[in-house]
Amino acid sequence: MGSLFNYTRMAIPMSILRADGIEFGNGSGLSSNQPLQTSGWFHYRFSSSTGVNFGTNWVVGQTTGNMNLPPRAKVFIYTNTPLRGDSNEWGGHYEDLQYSLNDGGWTSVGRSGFVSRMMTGNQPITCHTDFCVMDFSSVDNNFTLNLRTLHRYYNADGAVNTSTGIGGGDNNTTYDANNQNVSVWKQIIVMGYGQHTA
Amino acid sequence: MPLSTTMGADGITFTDGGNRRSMAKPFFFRASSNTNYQLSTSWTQGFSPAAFTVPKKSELLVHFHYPIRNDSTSWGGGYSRMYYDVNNSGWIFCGDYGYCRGAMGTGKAMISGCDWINAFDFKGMTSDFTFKVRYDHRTHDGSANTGSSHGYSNADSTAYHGATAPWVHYLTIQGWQYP
Repeated sequence: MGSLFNYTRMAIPMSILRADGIEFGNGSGLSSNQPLQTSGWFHYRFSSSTGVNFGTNWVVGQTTGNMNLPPRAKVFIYTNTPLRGDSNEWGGHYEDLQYSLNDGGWTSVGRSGFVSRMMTGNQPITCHTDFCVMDFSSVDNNFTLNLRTLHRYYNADGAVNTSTGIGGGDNNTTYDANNQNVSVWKQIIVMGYGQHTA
Repeated sequence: MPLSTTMGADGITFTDGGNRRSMAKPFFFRASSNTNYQLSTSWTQGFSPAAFTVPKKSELLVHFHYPIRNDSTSWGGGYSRMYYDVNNSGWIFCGDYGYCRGAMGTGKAMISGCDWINAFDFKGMTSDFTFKVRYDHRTHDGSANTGSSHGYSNADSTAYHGATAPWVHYLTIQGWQYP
């Protein structure tokens, strides 16, 4: 009789606990390609009420600080950026999401186009909402991830957070450790899990 | 090879986890409405679905989408506020979402939509609890509405998403419980 280890190396459709996670025995499509789950969901929320003016050069609008992520993490990133700039020109706003692994240099995931605060003769007060999905399947050890957003205009000065009518809520952590009083300003939300080929 | 991932009564624990989170059950809620709420410069209560029961030691991602139409050619605007309640203990104010998320600009009528996402951390809750949310709205000037004349269409069927009525006000909650 072979060991449990040898037995599960056969293509037997069962799920097992391994030292590094849970190997799911069945699945199809993507779930069969990467059947090893190495963590539960992680979940981070960062908010910033700081007003940041932007012009023709890139300026940093928000930096999250390091998050501790498991090996081979799949990461879902959501950003929301309040914007104002009273111009009857196009105005516009570019946003660049950048990441740093293990305190290394910054890498851009590509800047957005001018899809927000972009309208002639209207001085729109609006926000930029974006998503990004990242796959760190080649990172084999625990790692830290730091994110930041940079901003600049298309052709007229603008600002993040400033004079957007936003007001804080109750300072209440009785139930919710995140305290929603700052969630209404600029926000970056990160969630994901570790997953890998078995 | 010794197992260092263990199964317990409430979930799975990565005992050599390092940066790994342990895991229990994920869950999902949704609620929708096609009610029209007429808005003025005074606060009006909008979408407020019935309470959900949330399992203890959870985190939630709450996503709410709603439309705003303001036919004013002055600033117009659609301010919004969110509240939440735990175990019917009273509304907790999450802040004003400002006039930067809906139909706010001079000289032109505007129709737009807003996505509002909140991340809640209820891992400190040691018993299951009820959770409900409420969204209120008003304009900067002029009158507006959330729920009428946005060009929505009915769905083809009720299969899987529950209703043929269009998703005018639509709330989804993704959650994860931890052991």
